[in-house]
Amino acid sequence: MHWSRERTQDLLARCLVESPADEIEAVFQAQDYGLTRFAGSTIHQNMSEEDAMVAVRVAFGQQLGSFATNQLDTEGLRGAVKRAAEIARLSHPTPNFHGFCQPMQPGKVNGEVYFPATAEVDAAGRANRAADVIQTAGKAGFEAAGAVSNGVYVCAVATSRGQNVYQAETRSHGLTVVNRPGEAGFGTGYAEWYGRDFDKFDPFSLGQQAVDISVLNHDPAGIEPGNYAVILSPMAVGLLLFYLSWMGFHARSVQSGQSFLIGKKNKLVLSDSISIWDDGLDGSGYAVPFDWEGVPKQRVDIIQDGLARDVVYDSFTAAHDACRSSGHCLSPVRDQYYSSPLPSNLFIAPGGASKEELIASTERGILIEHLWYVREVHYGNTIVTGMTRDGTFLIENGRITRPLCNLRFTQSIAEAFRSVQMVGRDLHLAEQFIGVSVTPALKVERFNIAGISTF
Amino acid sequence: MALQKWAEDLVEQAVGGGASYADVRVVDRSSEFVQLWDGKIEQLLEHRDRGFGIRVIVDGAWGFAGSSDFSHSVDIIRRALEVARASSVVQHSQVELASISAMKQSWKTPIQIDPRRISFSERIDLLQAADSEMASVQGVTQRKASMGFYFTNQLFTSSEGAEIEQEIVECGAGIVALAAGMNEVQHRSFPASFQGDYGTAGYEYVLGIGLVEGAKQCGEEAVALLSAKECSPGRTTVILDSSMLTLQVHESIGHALELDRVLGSEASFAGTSFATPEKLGNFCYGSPHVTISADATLPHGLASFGFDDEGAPARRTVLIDKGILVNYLTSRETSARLGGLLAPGKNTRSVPISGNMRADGWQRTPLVRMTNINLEPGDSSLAKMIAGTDEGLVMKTVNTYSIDDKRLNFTFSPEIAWEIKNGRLGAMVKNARYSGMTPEFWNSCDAVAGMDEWHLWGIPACGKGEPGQSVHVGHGTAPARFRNVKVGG
Repeated sequence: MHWSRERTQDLLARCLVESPADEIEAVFQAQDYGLTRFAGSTIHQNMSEEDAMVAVRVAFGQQLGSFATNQLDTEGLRGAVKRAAEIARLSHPTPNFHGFCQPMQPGKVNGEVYFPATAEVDAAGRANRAADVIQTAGKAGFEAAGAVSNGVYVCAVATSRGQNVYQAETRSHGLTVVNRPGEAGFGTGYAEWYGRDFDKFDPFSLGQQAVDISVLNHDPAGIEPGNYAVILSPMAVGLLLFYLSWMGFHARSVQSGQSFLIGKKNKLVLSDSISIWDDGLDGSGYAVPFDWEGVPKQRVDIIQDGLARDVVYDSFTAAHDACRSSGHCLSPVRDQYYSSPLPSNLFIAPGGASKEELIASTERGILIEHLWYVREVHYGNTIVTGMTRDGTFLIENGRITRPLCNLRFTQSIAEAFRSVQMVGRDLHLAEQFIGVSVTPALKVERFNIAGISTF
Repeated sequence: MALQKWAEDLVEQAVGGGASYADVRVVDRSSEFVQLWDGKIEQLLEHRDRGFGIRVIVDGAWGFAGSSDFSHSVDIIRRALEVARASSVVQHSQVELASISAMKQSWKTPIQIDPRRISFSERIDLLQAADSEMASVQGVTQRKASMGFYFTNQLFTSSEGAEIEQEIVECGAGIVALAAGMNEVQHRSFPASFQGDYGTAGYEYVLGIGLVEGAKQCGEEAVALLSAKECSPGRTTVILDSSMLTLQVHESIGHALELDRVLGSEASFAGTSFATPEKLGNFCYGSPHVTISADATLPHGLASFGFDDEGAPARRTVLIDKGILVNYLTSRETSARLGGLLAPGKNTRSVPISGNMRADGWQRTPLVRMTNINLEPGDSSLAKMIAGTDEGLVMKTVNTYSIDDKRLNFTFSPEIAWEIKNGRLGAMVKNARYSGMTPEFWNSCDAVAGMDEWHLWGIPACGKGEPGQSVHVGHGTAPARFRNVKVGG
């Protein structure tokens, strides 16, 4: 698949000229990727997919209609525009619609987003990296499960008002869970890596990181429920940040009355050691300089030194508040559980502490390596519940003294982030349900452990 | 027929290229989704997704490739074979498939009213009527209403001679009312959360939901929750209504009994399962009131079809019989693997191919997935259960949920609850949640309501696998009672 800028924009132009409506917007997304999974140190699922889709949205006044298709021949495109127009004519006006995106030049991403060598990695290349992870685990006496992927992703938006934006990018990842042979799910260690450049993926390091955790993670003990000082790994912080964002960092959550930031602008809502922002131009995340309406992404400082600042907008929520979109509209073909807008390239400012320093500074607490099945409990109080997995350790007198069973926590994320005592220096990039996060480890003073599992 | 011939040619080319087994699925799926926020259309999207996927076994290892560009078929076959050969390099044992009959059949969802004949205006009018009912309730601060249709035509052809065509139609709708108070937002969904209720059926299914009729109460309950009492922590009797039980069945039984997961295939992502093979036939998963079936043959079930995505016919399989674990959700591969694992003399049970291999479209390889996983009706009733409870809670409609990666430790919460005092329903309760360990919880079940309170719910979102796959599942449930359950806290 070679969706060059010229070919993609030509395709979108063919959609625009077909439109009988007052206005039209055409959104393109394509992917060509492969993913190799392994379990029990054996590759058991291995796949490759190529797909490309156009979603057209047309408007007669404020009557909108949309149609998405992956049938990109002339008949398919013509049919999509025609059907979108039929839908628009039949639909009721959408008062918050005030036209598709005007011509606006997005900012420049600071960093490479496309690595040709990553695009070229084939099934054998992925299998070799999987074999390296498996071999690393095997040498230590462990078996490994995991996944390795690479691919090319293209997105573009064109509107009849003249906006025309395009990006081709590569992405890759590797992850592994290791355990003693025949003990899948017990005494596990986990590690993951995400990046645009597959050459930077070090499978031996990945495997070793997971082994180093698993080695410590046997014969776990229980612990009494209650509040503990907790060191959250960068991965764990990333997932909690996503949920905090989903519950409160977007205009929809404010307009619905759910966000914990309502009425708190410029007030201290988190620890003053915490700054959070969304930046679509920062290449240390997965930067895309425009959103799915073609609007250039603005950096949005959400929390500055603990103070509430702003939330992200798309055009509909911006119209509601009579302001401008910050460029955070989601794809029209996303998981419908998540409403638009939403931050998609989230950062927490790093501190200066190494993992060892975080542990050494803890008299009694818990080190949490990985979280699982986190879900919202109370939006306004940002309470979530979830489990720990793949390494949860008791810290006593500045050192890890024993592994713990997987723990259930029920905790307000904002409260945890208000009690931050130290911020890690190393940042971790991770894909979330929507977008990515770049986060350090955090040591928080209070984290509510509600129960334990049996393993 | 031209498409059938084209698919057969692909299978032949794959076999000619070295595949010991090959199947091709061609999937043409159209969906229509409309969503209103506060009575205004925020999303109105039709989506057509058409492509093909080819699955091969080469040198005893799996390969899969898919494309939406039918002119790329030669390249896609080459990719699938390359992927399989790459897999075979890191392979301890060869893939074996339990045998099935190669079927040559077609299957269609029975429908009464073709949703394609219903105009957008009519659909939006229905949603707006429901929205107006919610808006008429003072204190409702935001409303959401949605409706979706899915039309799937699929063709399955295999090197074993299977030729299966299916036409599946799915419909559903739902509404949500939100009420914002001081630092608190409460919400109620109707008829259930997760976009409402869906089924394989025509537009008659949407009409049968009664969106408009249920909307006012939905709004009133959302507002009333703001001033409801908080759930007190402790241990008590819990009665879960039919819609709340869908979650309990889904998370603590359905996922736990996916045999690929049990055998470790999902260890790196979704996790494993406590329900390990040595428990088959002897493990007391629940009380004698608990019988669980997987049944893709049920009329209107959201996961009802003629054949799964490796050509196995839809069937009913009892998974838990009067509390005892007796079967898993299986595929051809996992059924064969389990047969090899069960040591002769120790546990001679084998498990049938249950027809649970399902893929999220042409672009994904099938995985073991739930179909309609059902708690079989009992002989009690909600009224009898309440009357027989001195103190407890009735919980209704799924709110949030979390369970560990072996499907043991769970915390689930309803949108709304009511106290039970001395056999009568009492005050409304908000922010309730209950927790437990799966076997202990199901063993505490002492009553299940009968068939007249049993409903087959359709949930259009169940995730699994890497890359992520979302399939539509069903859960038939009637209210049930559980003793000594940890709540709140």
